[in-house]
Amino acid sequence: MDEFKDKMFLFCRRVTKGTQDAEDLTQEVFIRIWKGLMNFRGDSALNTWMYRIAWNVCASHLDKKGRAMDMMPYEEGDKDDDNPVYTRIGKEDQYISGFEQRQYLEVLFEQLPSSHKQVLTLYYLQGQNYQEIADVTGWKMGTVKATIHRAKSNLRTAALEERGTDG
Amino acid sequence: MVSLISNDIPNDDCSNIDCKQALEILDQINWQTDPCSAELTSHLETCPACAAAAKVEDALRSVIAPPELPSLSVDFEKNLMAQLGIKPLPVAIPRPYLNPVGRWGWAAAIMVISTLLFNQIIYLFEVVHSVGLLVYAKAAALFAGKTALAFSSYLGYVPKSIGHGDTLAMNIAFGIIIIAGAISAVRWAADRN
Repeated sequence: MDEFKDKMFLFCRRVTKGTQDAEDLTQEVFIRIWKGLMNFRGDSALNTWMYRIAWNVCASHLDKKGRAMDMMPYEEGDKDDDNPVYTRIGKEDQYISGFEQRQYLEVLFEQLPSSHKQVLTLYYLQGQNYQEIADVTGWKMGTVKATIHRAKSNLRTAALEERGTDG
Repeated sequence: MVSLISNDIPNDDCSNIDCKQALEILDQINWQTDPCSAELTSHLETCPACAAAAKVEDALRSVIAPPELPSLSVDFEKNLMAQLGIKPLPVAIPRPYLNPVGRWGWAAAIMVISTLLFNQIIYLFEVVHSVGLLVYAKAAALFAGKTALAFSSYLGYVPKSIGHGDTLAMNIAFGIIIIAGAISAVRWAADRN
């Protein structure tokens, strides 16, 4: 249960920088889960249902802050073949490494739109598959897949570009 | 520059992994469980570009899904319960093995055991000397012990398993003794007449 709480907290932190705001959002999520539990029909996995609630709470929060665009996915139709990482990844000398690399990726990750950070969190932290994430977000599965792929690519590419300008 | 997409033909065979395949495998959540993971590891040892990509991938994972999750404040649960109008469950305080009242319960149990022992001794004495009146003393002692044990068991000072088990056994014994006592009393009255 503690682990679930912490994961939900991390999920909510993806849309807000302040710890207190994230905690308030987490609390709101649990209140809605508690109140809605009697109406849970089992159409989806319980985990998916709970994250769907969290997703809606976070979207509502961003909407109030005038950041509704942060919850939008990448446009469908973006081709993975356009992903520059495959053409640039050979420049191994452009990679920063170790601790520095992780720190830099953290900064880059924070710059992603909130919804992309959340989708990546569901994918990596929760281990949810594309269909489950589609159920949480209400996006099409192809959109989820493209968003994850492009978000990761953006991170890699941005890291490479930064390294390129530095060195 | 080493191009990782030099081989455009998909290669389903693990034995000859190219860089594109390697990246595709690394892109999976758990690439360690991929059927080609062993071959991938070998490939990473010989391909600096892919090895670097694997490092980036690892770093990315640790950023997105950190091994140590951020923790909520200690008051989170209390505040949440308050919001939901739920009273927190009382914290169970472990009862000491021999608390002051419990000691009396155990004393009662010891008394019962002693009574049973006394009962057996009296029984042997009866068999040898045929002293009928002692049956009543035995019954009275047994009744006191039985009551003490049952009461202690009811209060929870004596483990239920002991209390119930002994109470049942004693009920049977007590019934037999009462009957035996009645028979002795009838015999005693008949002898006097």
